[in-house]
Amino acid sequence: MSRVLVPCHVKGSVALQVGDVRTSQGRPGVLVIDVTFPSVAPFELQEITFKNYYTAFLSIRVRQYTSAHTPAKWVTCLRDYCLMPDPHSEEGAQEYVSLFKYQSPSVTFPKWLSHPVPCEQPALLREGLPDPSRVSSEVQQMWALTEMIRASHTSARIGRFDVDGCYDLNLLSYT
Amino acid sequence: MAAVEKRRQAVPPPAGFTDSGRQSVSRAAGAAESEEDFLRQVGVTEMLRAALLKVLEARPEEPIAFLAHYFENMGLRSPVNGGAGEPPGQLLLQQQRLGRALWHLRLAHHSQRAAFNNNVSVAYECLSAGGRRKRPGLDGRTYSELLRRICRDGQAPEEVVAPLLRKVQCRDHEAVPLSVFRAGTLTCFVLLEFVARAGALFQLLEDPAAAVADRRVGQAVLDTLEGALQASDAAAPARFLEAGSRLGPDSLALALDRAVGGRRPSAPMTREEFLERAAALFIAKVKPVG
Repeated sequence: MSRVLVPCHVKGSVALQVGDVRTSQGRPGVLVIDVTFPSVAPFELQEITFKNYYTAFLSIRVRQYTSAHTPAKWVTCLRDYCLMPDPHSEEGAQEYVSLFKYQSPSVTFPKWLSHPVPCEQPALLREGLPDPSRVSSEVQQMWALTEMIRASHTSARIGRFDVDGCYDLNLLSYT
Repeated sequence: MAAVEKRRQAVPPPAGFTDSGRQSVSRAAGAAESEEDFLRQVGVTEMLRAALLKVLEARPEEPIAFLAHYFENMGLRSPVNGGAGEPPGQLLLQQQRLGRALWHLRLAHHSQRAAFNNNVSVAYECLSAGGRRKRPGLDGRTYSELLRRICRDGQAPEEVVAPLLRKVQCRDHEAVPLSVFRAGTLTCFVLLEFVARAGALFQLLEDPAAAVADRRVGQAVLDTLEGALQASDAAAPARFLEAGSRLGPDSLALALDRAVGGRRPSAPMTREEFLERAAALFIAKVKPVG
């Protein structure tokens, strides 16, 4: 299945702010960007790509037209997706971001579910690999035995004063 | 057995008491007391009490066999075998002492710490006892020999335990105090259990037909264990949590999957090599004697 760019119209950002924008001090924390699709033909959105510019968190809401007779409703596809781990640092501030559509089995799910999960989910184990829970049990016991020995250090010394045979007669005689 | 032994004279024999020794209802209370006295005088009461205490301490799986061995060893102590002839030579005495000490050390599992420590003390005393030609105290040579015997009887391969022995053995002339003795014997027994677990682990990893494991899989497991052991400079609770998460089934499954999924080809790893490498991880954490 090939992918094509969908023409869209991105409107200017609007600040969500209580009070008058012109008179009140400070800059707003939340901005809203409207994206509309001028083409009427229905399509399945696969991916959104954009370049971030100092936005920390992103939420995406989609207005879905499910059928001709029911009114369109707003569905939240993404809520507070973190683009910058620390809003006060540079990390992620000007990165290119791709958000993918999740293949949902049920039709009633919103078209968008989530971005790809950062950490890997444990996939189905390949054939021929040993049972991880039994391996884990043995390895944990081995770890516990080693930890026990590490902890049970005896402070008693045997009174050995030489280091690696430095009292060896042959060595002494050569000084 | 009882028919061969001579019968002692009962002191004093009550009137009308027949040799068959059958109890009769008309027995006076004095007869019952004399039997108790008799047992106490010959030391049987004390001996049985000690034996029962040992059974309670060790909680063996086969108590009767345990008791049989116990009494067998008791026989070694009493000068019954002698009779006529020369007393046993130094070497034989030494072997006997070692055997007895080993027997004591094996009575309780190392996890039963109180019982194990008791047995360690008894074994130490047994080996340190002075003799006719032996000065009291435990010398390094006997101690090292004991450690070797423990490892050998535990069926761990020589190459696997050799590095540990190098770390904990003492020089022949050194005098070994009880604390060093206790630490060394405990370490040996724990290593034996560790090697047994590693063997069971290898069986999970190996291909039954070929009796070898995939090197990538074996190495991945060993690396995970090594990582968990090293993540250990933090304080205790954090360290255990971290190790627990690394060694959990999910994390291990990922590691195994990644190991096999890579582009490296499969190569065999033998059981001996696996055991040696696993034991090396353990031995690295053992503090050498010094």
